[in-house]
Amino acid sequence: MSHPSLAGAFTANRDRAHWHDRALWFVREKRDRMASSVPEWEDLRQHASAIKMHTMSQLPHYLEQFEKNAIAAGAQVHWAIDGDEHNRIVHEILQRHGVRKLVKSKSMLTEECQLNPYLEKHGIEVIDTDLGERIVQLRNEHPSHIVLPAIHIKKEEVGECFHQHLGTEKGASDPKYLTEAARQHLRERFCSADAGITGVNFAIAETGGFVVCTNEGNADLGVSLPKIHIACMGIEKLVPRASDLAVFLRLLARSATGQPITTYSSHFHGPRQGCELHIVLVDNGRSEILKSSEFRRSLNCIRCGACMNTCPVFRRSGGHSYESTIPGPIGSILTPLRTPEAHSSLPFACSLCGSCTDVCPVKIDLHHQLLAMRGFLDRKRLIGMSKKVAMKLMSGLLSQTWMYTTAGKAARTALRWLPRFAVYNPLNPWGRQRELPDAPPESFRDLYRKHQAQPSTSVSGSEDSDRSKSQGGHHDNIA
Amino acid sequence: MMGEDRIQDHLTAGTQVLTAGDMSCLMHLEGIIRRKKHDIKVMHLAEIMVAGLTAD
Repeated sequence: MSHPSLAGAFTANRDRAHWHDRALWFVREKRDRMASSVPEWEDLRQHASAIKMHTMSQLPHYLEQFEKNAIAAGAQVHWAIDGDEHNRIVHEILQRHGVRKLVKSKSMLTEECQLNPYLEKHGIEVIDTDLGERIVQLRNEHPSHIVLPAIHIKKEEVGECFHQHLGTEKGASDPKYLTEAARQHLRERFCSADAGITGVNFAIAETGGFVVCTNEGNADLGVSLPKIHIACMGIEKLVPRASDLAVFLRLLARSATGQPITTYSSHFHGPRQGCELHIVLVDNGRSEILKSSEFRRSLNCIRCGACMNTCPVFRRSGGHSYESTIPGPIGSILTPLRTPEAHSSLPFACSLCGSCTDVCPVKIDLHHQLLAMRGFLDRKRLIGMSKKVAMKLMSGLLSQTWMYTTAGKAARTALRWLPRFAVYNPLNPWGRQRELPDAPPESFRDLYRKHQAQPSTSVSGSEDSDRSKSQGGHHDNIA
Repeated sequence: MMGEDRIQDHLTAGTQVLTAGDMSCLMHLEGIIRRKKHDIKVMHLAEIMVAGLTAD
């Protein structure tokens, strides 16, 4: 399905779409308050962007440095070219230790690789321990947002889901009560898990360590009890120095949820005594993106979700309408780069307003890339004919003055006589929400020319007196 | 829906005449205003200028 049809289905329920819009706008406003309370905010963004651009320009070097230092700290490092290899590596580690039960904190990478269904197919129980992810897991859904996976679900619906799966009271919707029920439920799973998986927010080349940011402490708990910790990361998660965290940790939570910092920023350097730490580095198309001068900057992304919270289309159409692990503006670049055929409608779910670019903490030129993505898809011949033909006709019409004026004249006549049906019919999606203006008797050009011909009303006015006064007779009405 | 929300903002703010330089945006908003019969006049910048030129 394409974005327009899925978005249409979501907005058909206006109340719900408004509720969704307001929920995300609330987060966006929190982010604004936080950003404006840091005087050096723009400096931080500039630094973050520069650090990421530098890291990406030397990625092989920093990856090797990271591997060397991680191994020196006692971790085992694995490389995966794609999602399948990643899943096989993780499964192989789990198999070796006879793991049957696994707890996993939030990781968009494992979503991207579809690790859960793979492991479940092989008889391993996977429990997502992030509250939002647990909710969508119980509902057999995917996250609709990378930071707020269950933002599309109302608390009454969470109550219904918990009643079914966790045995809470029917009709309960008090967030405190429901969260407590989830805590008790998850605590059991934490205690009985044989292994823990986490994502990685930042991996540090010079130390071989990495940082995981959560608000619930579920990552710490999930890897503190079992003997096996597997950390899965995309290769773009790297920063060169530990001191770079001073930039990124300040930006991440402020941009994501409007908090000064996440409740937990957990640093991991090697395994605990008697335990194993595995780090799986995944490419899955990232090297290809790195090659592209047009889209390289999308690898700066630190997955804060700020572009989603601010996007007027995302807020109203919901994350699921993108059918993509990473939805919203950044997802509309990353996903079609990997699977252009299946996601060719995504860069058009955008009015090019540029709000995403304004809030991005690592200064990805998102709306420019979204425009470039349309060209990328066109070169792959994936733009629908109706869009293409209309654009070709319009650009032909608008590039020739005589054609434009003739067409204008014809339209002014036609608009007076054409039946409404000619423009507003099911075959013309343009007319679904738009109205052509009433045809004026003459064009602005004609009027302007006539006006110019009358010397007394010349726009240039007299040069010797106050300009505004000399033109006042005509221009008062404009002001 | 984005257009409807924008119009709602204007209704709340008490807008009487809505103008812009972007034709496509104006036609979108005018479509919604006319079909919902809201009391907001939509004018392109050029129309406002013409009104000025022809006023006297």
